[in-house]
Amino acid sequence: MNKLTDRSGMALIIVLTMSMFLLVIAVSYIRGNAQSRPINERHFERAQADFLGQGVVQFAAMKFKKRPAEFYYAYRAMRAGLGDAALRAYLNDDTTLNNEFVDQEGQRYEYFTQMQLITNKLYETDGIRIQVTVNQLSDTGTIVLTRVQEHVIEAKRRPL
Amino acid sequence: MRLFFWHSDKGFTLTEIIFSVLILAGTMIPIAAMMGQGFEGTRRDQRQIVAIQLCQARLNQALAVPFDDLVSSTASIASGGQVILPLGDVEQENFTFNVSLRVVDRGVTYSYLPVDVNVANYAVDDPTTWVFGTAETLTINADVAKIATIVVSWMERGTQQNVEMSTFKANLEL
Repeated sequence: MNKLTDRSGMALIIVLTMSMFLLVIAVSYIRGNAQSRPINERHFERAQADFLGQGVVQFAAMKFKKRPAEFYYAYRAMRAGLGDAALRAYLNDDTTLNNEFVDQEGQRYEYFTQMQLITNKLYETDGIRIQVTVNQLSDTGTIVLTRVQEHVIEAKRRPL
Repeated sequence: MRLFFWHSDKGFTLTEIIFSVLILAGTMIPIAAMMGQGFEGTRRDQRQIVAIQLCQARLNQALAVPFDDLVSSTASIASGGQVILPLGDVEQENFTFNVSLRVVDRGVTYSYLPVDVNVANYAVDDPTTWVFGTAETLTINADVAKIATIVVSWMERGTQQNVEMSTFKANLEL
């Protein structure tokens, strides 16, 4: 009876120790695996936001092509200190340049457009800088990520 | 005190060894299953990353396609005898992905304030003489813009998986 008491339980201790060791390895592996998924998801959303930004840049370029004078008037009036009502009407109130896009998965993206006149007198060039900011929104409307697309349309000034 | 490690003359009993193996097996089987799931999850993620990268590459190519040629298609789009947007089945990482393009027309509406150039003291170089009118809009509905979506699909354990990415394309030749 005494001999049995001395020997018994050792295998159990060894097995339990090994089991604990394996469990720790498995848990750490599963945790690491679980953490890798959100990076993958954000990779998709970053790319989607960038593509939306590129598309909206095209819309802004098209607007400038169709209504260049109205932009110049609005921008120069703002720079002359006459208020920014015309520029806000041109940029901020435009529903094509500022809107929301919902993808097939139901993910919401909002985008805003800014345009800026960049003039270089030394090189006799005029340019328009188009900047589109795309935010990916959560279900509650908070911003999850922000991506910015910028494009400059540059042209040599015509001699007077 | 007797040390059973060194002074035991019988070692482990068969019953102990059987119980040990059973406990070890009982622990190892769920762990092995979890690790198997982990590996499968990693492979699934890998396929999704490949699908996203494929989607990005094709959408970049779609942006370079002339406006009129950008139409919904499941087969490659060619121009001048050359494929400019490869679509259809693609073999990557020992897996088959199907790539298609979905295009929807959309209009644009641009808002602005016009300047009345007919007012008496209007001078093109003097912003203080400019009189802005009420808000106007320019609406173009047809042949002006498209929403282009690349769809990459593949089968995962009998279920179809999709990755879709969209962009806008404006007809800048208009």
